[in-house]
Amino acid sequence: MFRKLFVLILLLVPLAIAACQPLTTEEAPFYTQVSEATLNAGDEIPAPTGDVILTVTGNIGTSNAEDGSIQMDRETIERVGQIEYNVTDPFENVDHVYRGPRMSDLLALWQVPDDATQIEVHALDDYVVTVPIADLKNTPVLFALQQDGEYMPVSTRGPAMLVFPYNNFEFNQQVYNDFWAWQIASINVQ
Amino acid sequence: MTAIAPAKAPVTRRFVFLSPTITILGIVGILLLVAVIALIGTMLRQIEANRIATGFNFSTANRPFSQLEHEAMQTLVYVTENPEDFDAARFQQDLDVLASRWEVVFWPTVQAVFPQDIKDNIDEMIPMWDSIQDLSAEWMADPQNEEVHAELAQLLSDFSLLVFQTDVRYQTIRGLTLDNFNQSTENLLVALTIVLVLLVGFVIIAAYAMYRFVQAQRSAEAKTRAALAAESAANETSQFKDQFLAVMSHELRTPLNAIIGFLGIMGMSGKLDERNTHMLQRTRANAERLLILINDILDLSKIEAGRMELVPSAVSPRELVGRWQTQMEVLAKQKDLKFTVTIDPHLPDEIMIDENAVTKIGTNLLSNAFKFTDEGEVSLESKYSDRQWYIIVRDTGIGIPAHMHNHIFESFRQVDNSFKRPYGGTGLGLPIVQHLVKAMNGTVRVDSEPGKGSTFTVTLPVEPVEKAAAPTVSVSQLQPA
Repeated sequence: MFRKLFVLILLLVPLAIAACQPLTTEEAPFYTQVSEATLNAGDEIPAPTGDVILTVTGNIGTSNAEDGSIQMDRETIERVGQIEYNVTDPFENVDHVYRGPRMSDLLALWQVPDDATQIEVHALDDYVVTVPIADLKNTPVLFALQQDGEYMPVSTRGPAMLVFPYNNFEFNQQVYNDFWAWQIASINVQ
Repeated sequence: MTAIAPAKAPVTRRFVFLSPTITILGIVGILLLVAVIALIGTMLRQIEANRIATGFNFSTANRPFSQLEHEAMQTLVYVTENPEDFDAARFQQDLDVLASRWEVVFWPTVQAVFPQDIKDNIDEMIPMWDSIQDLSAEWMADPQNEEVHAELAQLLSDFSLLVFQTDVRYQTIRGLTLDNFNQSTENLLVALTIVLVLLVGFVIIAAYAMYRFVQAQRSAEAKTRAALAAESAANETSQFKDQFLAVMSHELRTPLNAIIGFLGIMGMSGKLDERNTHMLQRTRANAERLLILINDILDLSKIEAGRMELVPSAVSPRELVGRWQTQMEVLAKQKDLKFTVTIDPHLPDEIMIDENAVTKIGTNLLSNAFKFTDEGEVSLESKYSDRQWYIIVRDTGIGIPAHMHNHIFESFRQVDNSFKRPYGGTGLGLPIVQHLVKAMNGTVRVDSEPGKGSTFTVTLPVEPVEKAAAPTVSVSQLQPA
């Protein structure tokens, strides 16, 4: 009786220990570096030459416009350096490869100070969502411009959309689905 | 239970682990308690999820029509308000945003949740959508064309209205799907109830096993009395018994009290709907019944293990009977039964008796009488003669067949032992009564015929209080060797 119990416990203990191990995330980068940065944090942001697709205001340390904002066309945004990765789109429930600069690189380019806590993302429709900056820095969140190798037009979800690496990190989708802002037009840093 | 050591073998420490049945019962009990805790946890999480869901904290894909309607209205506002200074780029952007929302409606994930009538509405929208595209192109090419402008405005307005109606319908259906959340909470409640019922079963089996164990142990004790080893064995037996009782009463009652308490808190939280509240109350009532059952079993075990001490004190029998009467009148009212109480005038003012024990006897007999009587009368008669106190409980209930008269004082016994028996209860009331009466040197007698009701007569020898107080008597001393 005792011996059996003992053997049983011996069998169960490693199982229990194994079950208690936290889920480890992948060590190797799951994304592909598509282009290297030619515009780095601290560099002056050039004035836009093409259509302005993003206006940045608020708690930022630099500017390229008279009103103190940053005006960016697509080409300038891409110069921050782009990565791409595969992610299951939570709305369509379909896998897409999204490409664009990391939000953390953009925040660095805009010289967002350490005391800034959140960004308010405004979309072309009246959608507004507030995203904590910590969430943008902890994982490679994309300011996605391309979906499956094509630039996203406004008539899908372009010109830009926030993409969170759902396939590689744990996210509470109840909360984070709202952060996937479509058709981003401007960002106010707070 | 065959694993009791034979008389000649020295009873060793092995004894504590002797019964595999009790070990298994312990494991089953722990598993059941873990199941209860896990279920309550899951249920609380479910309720939280329900709260989030009812907060309508849903993303774009879950509100395809309200977004589409919003964008269609935006476009319509632009069309009607800006016919003069027309900005083709701005209008195109509105159209593009509108198109992105239109596309969402056709996503497989979104389509998958649409019922047929929503799909019918979409089929109706498609030709309107195509016309909107054509007219918009025409208007952008020729912004001064009043006819095209008016037609486009009308079409956008019709389109918005249809989308709005579809949205209302869709939200209604989504409201219905929210019920599924409630449904799963309900399923969890049912599972919880089932586990609690299993726990009841477990307690009964455990108590029975313990009862058998103690009985077997007692006979083993008798056999080994002569042997030197017997003494230490007996000590170990009673020590084990004591421990088991202590563990049973603590380990079973504590989680149950916690369950009852938390169920109460859950009921007060106000987050449950009416149906769940009802189920919660039922779960709680069952948990309380389980607690009563456990208390009964522990009482019986205590009495049988000789651990219940009788402490006689001066008590007024009239007051005592009056208290039982007040207590039982509720039951009489509930079942609409006549309830008469008669007290012999010769009954002394005060007698020496253990108040708790005699109250248990009286209330157990009375609540049995009320339980098994559906119409007619229950009466309690209190007589006294020659230092004998007679407590007579009569009812006009279902009665007991003659061949069962000897069995009704056995534990867990009801006359109808079938699975579908109509009367609840543990069947522990009469055994408790019998043990207590025996301990008080009294007798209990039953006269009954099926269909004509039953009469239980308890006779207790009592001392009127003028006499010197009787010494404290313990049950074990009174039992035959």
